[in-house]
Amino acid sequence: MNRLKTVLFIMFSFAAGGLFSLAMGKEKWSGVDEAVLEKFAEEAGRVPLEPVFNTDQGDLLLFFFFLFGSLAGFIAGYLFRELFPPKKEKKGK
Amino acid sequence: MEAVAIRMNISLRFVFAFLFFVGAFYTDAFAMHIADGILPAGWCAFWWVVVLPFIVAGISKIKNESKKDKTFKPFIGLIGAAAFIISCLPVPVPFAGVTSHPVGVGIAAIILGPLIAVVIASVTLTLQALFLAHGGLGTLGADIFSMGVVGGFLGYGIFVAVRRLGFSWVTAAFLAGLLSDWGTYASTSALLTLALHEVDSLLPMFASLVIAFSPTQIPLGIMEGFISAFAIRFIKNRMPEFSLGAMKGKL
Repeated sequence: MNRLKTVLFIMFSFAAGGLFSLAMGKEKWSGVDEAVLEKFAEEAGRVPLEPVFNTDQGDLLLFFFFLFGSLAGFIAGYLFRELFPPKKEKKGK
Repeated sequence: MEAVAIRMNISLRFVFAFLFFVGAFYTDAFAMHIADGILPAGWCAFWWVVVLPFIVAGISKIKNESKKDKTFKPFIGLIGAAAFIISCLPVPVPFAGVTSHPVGVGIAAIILGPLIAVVIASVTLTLQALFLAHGGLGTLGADIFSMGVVGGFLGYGIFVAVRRLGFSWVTAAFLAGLLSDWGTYASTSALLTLALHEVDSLLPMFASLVIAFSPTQIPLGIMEGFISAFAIRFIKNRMPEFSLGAMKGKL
């Protein structure tokens, strides 16, 4: 019963967050980095420039996130296994 | 036992009520990924000049330490890859209705030292600026300063200080992760305020930025504290002889 209450509470808090951001006129679940920069820059008279390589176009950003995420994940996993070998393997050595 | 459970329930309710309260006053916030064009050219150049000596010293330290310890380079690769993933991971924050990301540099500073954390932050932020539309090349110096220099040195300093006070590894790592995250965002607020404030608006602007960060960074900082504590606990269990970064010698 307590577990159910916890799950319901978490679901409620996320839903409240989404509704709250919509009510405040913000894009739902927008990133703190992007959602704010342009508005604040405009207020301060500064215009954010486009990135040197603008990957924020359609699914291109998703592709780069996936590419670099996979690459970093592979490197981290490979080196993790090298530094912390499974216990059986360690005994064998 | 029941009394403890009730007390915990009340504490949790208080935490969520506080987050909701802060969320209700949430307006806008910044993170350490400052895009090109936000900071004036003079400030961009200034932060580049400030961080360059740290980067050079970090690279030199990597060369020296790699000769002494064979596990050093694999640790740099592992921590660097982890920091990259952590610092571009958008975490949805309940009640605030926005996503934000942890920093990951506190744990890097504990394990490898603050200068190497600066190098890791530099590589991470450069890749993000070039390929992930996060940050900019001109503002990279400012981004490296807040995430690498402030986050790294603060995380390292807190860890060492808390250990010297006699607290456990886990407590020290938790506080280092927590405060390096908050320190990064506080310094981002400070350097934005320095560059963009109007006359007589220095402190109010800084305060408003810090308050604006609170709804996302209070929970994310706590999360980062737990990640750091878990990582250090894991290393101490699996590799008791580990002696790098802030875990060298008597500490």
